[in-house]
Amino acid sequence: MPELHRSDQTWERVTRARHANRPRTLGYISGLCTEFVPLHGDRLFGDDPALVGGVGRFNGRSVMLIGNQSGADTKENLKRNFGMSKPEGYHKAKRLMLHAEKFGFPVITFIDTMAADPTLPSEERGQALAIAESILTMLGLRVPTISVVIGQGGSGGALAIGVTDRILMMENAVYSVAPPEAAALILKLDPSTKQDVAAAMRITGPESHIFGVIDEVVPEPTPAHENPLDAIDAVGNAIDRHLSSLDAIYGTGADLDVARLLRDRYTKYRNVGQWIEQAADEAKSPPSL
Amino acid sequence: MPVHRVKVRGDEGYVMLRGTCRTRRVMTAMREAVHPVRATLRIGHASMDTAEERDARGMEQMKERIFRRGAHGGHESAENDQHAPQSKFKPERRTAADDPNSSAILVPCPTCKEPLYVKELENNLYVCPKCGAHFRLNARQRLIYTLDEGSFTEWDMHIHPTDPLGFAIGNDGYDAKLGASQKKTAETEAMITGNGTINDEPVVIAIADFTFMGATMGSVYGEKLARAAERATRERLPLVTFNASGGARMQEGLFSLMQMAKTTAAVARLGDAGLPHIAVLTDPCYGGVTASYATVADVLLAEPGARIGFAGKTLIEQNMRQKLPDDVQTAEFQLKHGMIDDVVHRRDLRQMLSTLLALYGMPRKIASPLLDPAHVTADAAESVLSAAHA
Repeated sequence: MPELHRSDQTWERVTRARHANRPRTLGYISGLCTEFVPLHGDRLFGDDPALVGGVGRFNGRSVMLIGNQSGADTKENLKRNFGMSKPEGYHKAKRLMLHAEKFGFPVITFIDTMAADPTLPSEERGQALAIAESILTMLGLRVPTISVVIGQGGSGGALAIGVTDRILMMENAVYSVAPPEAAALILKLDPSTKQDVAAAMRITGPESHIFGVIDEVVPEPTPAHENPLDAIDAVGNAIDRHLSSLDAIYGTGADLDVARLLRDRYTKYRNVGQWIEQAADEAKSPPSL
Repeated sequence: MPVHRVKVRGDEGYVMLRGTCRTRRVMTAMREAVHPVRATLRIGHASMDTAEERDARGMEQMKERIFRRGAHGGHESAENDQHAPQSKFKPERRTAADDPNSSAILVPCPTCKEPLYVKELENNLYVCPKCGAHFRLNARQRLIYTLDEGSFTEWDMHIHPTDPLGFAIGNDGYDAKLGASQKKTAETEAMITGNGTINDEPVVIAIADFTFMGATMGSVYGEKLARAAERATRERLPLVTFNASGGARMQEGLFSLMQMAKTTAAVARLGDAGLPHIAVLTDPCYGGVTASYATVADVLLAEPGARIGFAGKTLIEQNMRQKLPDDVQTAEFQLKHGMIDDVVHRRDLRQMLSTLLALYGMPRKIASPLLDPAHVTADAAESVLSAAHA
């Protein structure tokens, strides 16, 4: 059992993850890519400004970049719906991922969303299905994939672009099954308990790493909102390292061992979780907890 | 006691009235008699009158004496319903089936408030015979109503939940909650899996039990479902899932979130093997379950009136700062918006499933041209044959 984070320590990370000056997806893309062509629209309904993507050149190689995008100020946040994607956002993500597969581009995603957009129009257009289809698409992508949790990763809205061969997480990012405020609501607790809920869910990068859900924590010697350029560099180095390691394991281009890639990705997600297996003769009785 | 035969918008029915009622009330009762969903509305509305009025007009007695023909209440289409004053309709949680140990003989229908005999409810698949509301079923009840008698073999009963995060808020710990739920439901977790037959069609079945912590998807839910899907793939059997869930299990944190990827991966493999996954969404089905394996099913069915969505209504209302109409996020709403294949009444569900299983069946019963040795190598023929006999 990892050392328990006191709730105020966890909340400090939540505050940092949400900080207005923290670099966001487009910041990372412009810092890491020498060229970038944004691609818009889901070809079905619209274009979701809360989820951006496009083709870029990263360390001399073409890659597909996709990420949640919130704004630095209220005006941009209103335009980008505070980074909360609608179904068209996830449809766009799915389209861009299949696009990347077609041309053999590795897919790099940046996770930075509190949750998927919880409004009636999104429900009407099938928010749940859009997320499910994006997850399904990622599981079967025949190219290597890497995701980085750069700010807040919350709920299925984040996982929709997070089912990758490698999951990285910034030191001051948080990743949780639901944002602490929503979790308190779901658990029928007082909203003032959000800090305790955040701590109890163990949402920080180091804790997620200890539990083996993520692959690496990208350290932030100074928090990213104080020193964005160093943070972008650190993320770039981490992505580069993992991309090289994926290349070394599975090969590149025509030599890519797709079957092995998909098998390993399946195993990675198939093995997540903790449970107790009792011998068959004890099976009837509930476990002593 | 006067019995009136009435006809309203093409539907016939009977009303029996006791005491004296004014004409308007009689007409209301008649309408209620043949349009059960509206009946709930009007009665709900009428009962908001003052007590004196209600007594004077014998509304309570009238309510008790209303009968109607048939049991098509839950089947009313959205078109028929659109004139109903839905803003006054407050659907209640359907929980009478929640407590399997209850010894009550009479339970009120949470939707139409009619007192119903438990025995009668059981014989009617826990569908209110008065208004057609579908009560929630626990997983064992669902098994009984779905599979052929005695055909069920349960799998993976030895998998139990644990508390990976040491989750506790104050004195409220996850392990204690698990223990309480296990005691209350006599289940070890919110997911039951196994194999059996539906009208002699072999099937792997996975049923979520909403009475166990709201059937939230934790590690055990995901693991049992994934194992069931994998075994179905190995044994070349179709998969039927009955889904009801409050979403992810907060107490298992990221482990819970990742079950979405895990379950989706497992049912995707089933699909890669050419085997069908038929999902039935039952009341209520939300969050991580609708946003993962359930909605990517090959055939997506729902029970009438089931609440289905991604975000909970309270959360949406808080976020949009407005009240939502009561008919959003129902099975009918999802059908209208193209998200599910059909809404199926509980009494038709077994037949529907066995029809689908037969339609999507493996070459079991079909003579395949691939089996002609002139056309294929021995290897290929053998693999088709082994599939056929699996």
